[in-house]
Order: sequence, then C-alpha cells, then structure tokens
Amino acid sequence: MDILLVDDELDFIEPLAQRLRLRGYKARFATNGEALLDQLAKSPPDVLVLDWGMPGLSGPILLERIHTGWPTLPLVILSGYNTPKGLRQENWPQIREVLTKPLHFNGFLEILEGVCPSRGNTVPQQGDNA
Amino acid sequence: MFCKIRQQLARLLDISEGLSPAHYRALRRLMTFLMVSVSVTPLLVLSAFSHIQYSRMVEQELEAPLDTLARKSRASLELFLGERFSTVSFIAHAHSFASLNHPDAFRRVFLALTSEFHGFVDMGLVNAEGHQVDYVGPYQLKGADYAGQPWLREAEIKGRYISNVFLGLRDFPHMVMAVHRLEADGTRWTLRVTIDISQLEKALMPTGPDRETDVFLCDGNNILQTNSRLYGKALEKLPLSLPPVGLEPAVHHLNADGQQLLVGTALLSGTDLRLVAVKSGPEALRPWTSLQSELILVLCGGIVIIVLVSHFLMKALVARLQAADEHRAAITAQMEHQHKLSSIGRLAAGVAHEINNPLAVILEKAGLAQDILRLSPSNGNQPQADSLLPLLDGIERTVLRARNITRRLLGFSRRMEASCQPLRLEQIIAESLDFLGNEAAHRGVEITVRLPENLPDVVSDQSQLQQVFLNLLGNALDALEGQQAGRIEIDGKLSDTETVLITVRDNGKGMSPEMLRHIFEPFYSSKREKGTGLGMFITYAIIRRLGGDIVVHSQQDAGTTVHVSLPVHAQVISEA
Repeated sequence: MDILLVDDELDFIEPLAQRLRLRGYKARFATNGEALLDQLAKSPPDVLVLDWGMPGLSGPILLERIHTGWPTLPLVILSGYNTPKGLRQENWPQIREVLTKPLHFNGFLEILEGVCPSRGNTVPQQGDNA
Repeated sequence: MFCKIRQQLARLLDISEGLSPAHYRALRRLMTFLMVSVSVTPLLVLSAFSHIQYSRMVEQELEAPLDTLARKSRASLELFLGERFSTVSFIAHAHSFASLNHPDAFRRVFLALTSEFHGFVDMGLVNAEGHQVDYVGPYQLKGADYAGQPWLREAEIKGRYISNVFLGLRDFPHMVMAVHRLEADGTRWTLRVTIDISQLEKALMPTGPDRETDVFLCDGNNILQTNSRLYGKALEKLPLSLPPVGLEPAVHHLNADGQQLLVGTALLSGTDLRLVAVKSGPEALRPWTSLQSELILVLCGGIVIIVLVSHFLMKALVARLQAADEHRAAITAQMEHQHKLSSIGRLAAGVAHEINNPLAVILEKAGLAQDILRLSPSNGNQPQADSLLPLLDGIERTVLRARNITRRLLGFSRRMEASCQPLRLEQIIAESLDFLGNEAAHRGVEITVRLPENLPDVVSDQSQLQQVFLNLLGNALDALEGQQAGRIEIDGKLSDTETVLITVRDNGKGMSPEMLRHIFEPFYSSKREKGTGLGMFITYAIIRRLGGDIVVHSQQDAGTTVHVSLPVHAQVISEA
C-alpha cells in the first residue's frame, strides 16, 4: 500500500513514515501543500493522510484541489482538534476518517487497512502495543 | 452649597461606590434632607408671611374698638362738660349780680339747674373781692374767701374756668366750673359750680360698663381724675407712663410690668384732661395668642408629617434602589463568572491543541524507537533492547495519559450541528444508569427516577447529554461513598413550554461554599486520587453549549442538588 503523509511537523511525520515502512508499507511524506501537490501529480498514492492545520496551503484549500484533481483518492484527515475547524465530513465522501493527534498507532493502522486493504506485501508484526 | 449637594448626590448615586449599607444610609439621609428642606422651606416662608399679615389684621381688630371707645367717651365727656358749662354760662349771662344776690333767688336758680342736670353739687356767687356772697349746697361755704386763688384769677382773665379734679375745702374729689361776668355798670362777679366726678365716670362709659376695658381720666401730671378699676382711686398717681397725648385719639402698645397693654388716649378739648382707655392682660391679646399657638401647632404638625413621610418614602425608595443594584451586581457577577469560565474553556482548548503536537511527536518517536528495537533485525544487543523497551512503554503510556486529558479538554469544543436529534431523556438517563447501576447496587445506593410521562423529547446531542448525566450521577455516587442509606433522586419537569428541568439530588457529603464557588473550573477536584477535575467543567460547557443552564446547591454533610435546565430545542452555541 502506498501511503502519502502530509504534515508540516517533520519530527512527527518522519518517524510515522518510518514506522509504516518498518511494517512494509510504502510510506512517503511531504511537509507542505506545494510538495504534496507535486507528489500527487507525479504519482498518486493509495491513501493520503493530510494534516488539516498547516501554514501556507492548509486543509480547506488542499481539500478543494485534491477533490478537483483526484476525486476518488481516499483521505484520512489529521487534526490537533477533535474536529477540524470548517470541515463537514459528510460533504466530502472521499474523507474516510478524521483523527486527532496524537495518534493511537494501532488504531491508525487498522483504519489504513480498512481504507485500503493491504495488497499482501506486508505482515503486521506481533507485540506492537502502541 | 448646591454644588456640594450635587457632588455628594452624584457620588452616592454612582454604583461603583459599592453596595455597602453605609452608602445607602448616607444616600437615604441626603435625599430625606433634600426632600424635607424643599417641602418645609416654603411652608415656613408661607407661615411667617401669613403670621405677619394676620398679626397686623388682629392688631387692627384689637385697636379699632379701643379707638372707637376713646372717641365715643371723649365725645360723651365733652358733651357732658359742654352742656354743664353752657348752662352755667347761660345762668351767668341771663342774670345780673343783683338779681342773683338773693339767697332765695339763688337757691331757685340752683334747684332749676339740678332738676335739669345731674352732677351739680353746689353753686356759689363770688363778688369782685373774692368773697363768696351766696352759696347753695351741702357745705357751709357762704363767706368763703377765694381772693387771689389761681382759679379765680384765671376765670377773671379768661371769663371762664374748668378745673381739674381736686379735694379742696369739700374734702371729696370734685371739679369746678366758673364763669366770670363784667356787667355794663362795671360790676364784676363770678358764678362757680362744683361737679361730682361720679357723674363724670358715667359719662366716660357711654356704652355701659366694659369688663375688658378700663376707661378713666387723668391730668397732665398723670394724676387720676376719676376712679380707675385697675389703677386706683381718683387723685392717685397713675402708675403708667403715658405717651404724649394729642387731640386726635391714638392707640398705643404699652408694656407695664411685663404685661401687654393696649392704651387708647385722647385729649379733651379746652382742658388739660386726657381720656385713657386701657385694655390689658391675656384678655386683650387672646385672639392673637390663640392664633399664634394654632399656627405653631399646624406648622409643627405639618413638619412632623413631612419628615415622617419623607423618611419612610426615602427608606422604601432607597431599599428598592439597593435591591435593584444588588440584583444588577448579582447578574454582573454571574456574567463575569460565565465569561471567566468560557475564557478558561478557550484557554484550555488552546493549550490542549498546542500540547497535542509535541505529544504526537513524542509518541511517534517513542513508537519508532520501539519499532526499531522490535522489528529491525536483531543486532545482538537484545539485553539492551529488553531494558529499553519498558522505558519506551512508560513514555508511551504517559503520552497516552496526557492525550486523554487534552482530548477531554478539547471534547467540549467540538461542533455538533450534525449530531442533534430528538432524544427521550428517560432513555438517556436509563443508559447512564446502566453504566453505573452495578456500582450503585454494590454500594447500597438507592436510585429513584421520577420523570413525568408528558416530558417532551429534547432535540440535543445524545453522546454529550449522556456524558453530562454520567458525570452528574458519577459525582453523586462518589459523594455517597462510605455512607449508609445513600440516596440519589432524579426528578424531571417541564418548567415552561420550552425548557425541561432535571434535578439530580443526593444525600451525600456535600460541598463547602468555597468548593461550590470553583466547581465549574477545570482541574478543581474534590476527588484528588481519582478525578481529573474536568468533569463539572465539561458538564458545564456542554450544557451551556446546548443552550441550557446548570445550577448547583450544596450543603456540607447534607447533600448536593444539581438543577439542569435544557431547552426542548437546543440552540447550539458554537465556541470552536
């Protein structure tokens, strides 16, 4: 599964991507909206994990662009708040889940698997109690 | 003065001065003073004015009768004396010395005189040498020698003489009239009559005896000429010092030995005699003093009534003012409290959000470290990995604990437009009780739910409402910890068509007023060992956001009552 992570906090997104890779996912990340759009243009992922509150191009604008360019791309929104400001999840069918940081990693994995069932190249490891 | 009062009033009416009872007492005193002075001043001015007017009128009323009496008496006296003098003069001129100088003829003339006029005592004929050659009367005065006497000389010079009252040879008070004649043949003689003053006294009172007024005659030396009721017999000295007397009657106010006197005087024309009419004592001034006392009574009564009415009016008014101020202060305090709580809420949410990002970083890094130790191919450092993993677990657990707190803090700032639905409160409460029922049964707490059948569904957020009731019931259970016969009662009613009131009451240990004051603040917990101190904070925030209200009453060792009012249709107030 190809996962694209977007968050302006490198210290957060880099370890997250690494943890996913350790589990056999193809995980890449971008730290701002422009980089995200570049990567999307190059090769769209199976699922996009997007931080809602970023400086510059932030959640609402990016959501519009993504919806225009990739209307079927499954999205998982991350937010510092329980519910992101200005987001009505029901208006955006491609949003599969809204999660609050800090993430419960196992729950996050389950959601990713639910969004896009693993294509068999990974085996989640035992003993991960995070 | 006015400036000062205005400043004082402005200061007292300024609410920021505070709500101390002394402040309102001062305000009441000032307003009462103003009202009393504004009402009493015109009253006093009016009273003084009418007092002056009326006293003038009363004075005139008192003086007029005395003046009239003096005039009448004078006229009557003048008439009395004039008549007698004219008669004597007529006799003198109608007869010659020769024709009178016979005892029989002289007696006949005297008899004719006394038959017409009262008051003649005797009559004498005095020749040019001053010898009384003829005399008719009760005394033996024939042959008396008047030569050189002042009255005779005055009669000889002026042709007539009227004496003052004197005792003389007769030894009783009388007055003398004399007419001097110079006949054609050169014979000079004088006709002299004596008048009894008792007749004079009758003439003094033409309107009859008057109990209030004393009328008498006195001469230029203040010697009484007639008997006075008040000041002694005739020929005694008058103890009053009379003002100068003119021909015109005049009324004077005299003060004799501390007694107010009203004195009318008039000079009898052609004599040195003054007529004096005296009205004295309390009798004379009774109308005046009675008026004064009535006026003072009315004035004092009026002032007393004004003071009383002002006092009670201002008391009531200031009490109302005080109540209004206190009400306003209470509302302001409540608003400030709500404002404070909402500020705290925003602050808490902001802090929670800001902390969430670093927490996420810590969590991911710790997670990654665990992953590296567990998932990477073993590099032979297994013992180190075994000792590191529990540490990383500890970091992760701690972060998750912190995450729970921030999540709860953020919980109530969630927007809920989508989640409002019609809810049966019975069901919500029953579900909440399901969670806690076991614990309640275990502790022997009796829970009673009394919700009326007609309680309407409320349109609200199910999970949030459930959280509210879980919090409230959980708190009630905790308050009942270790208590025998613990009871929780849940009542519901429709307080008006748009509001449902739910009351949760326990008979637990209650709260101190201090605790009650801070109950809705975050991290303020009575359950130090188990609570986060966020329960009531979140409960309050949820209920406020659902458009409801929550009020807590509590008494230490008696129990706590929580009133939750919820709108039937929640108007969600967004704070996000």
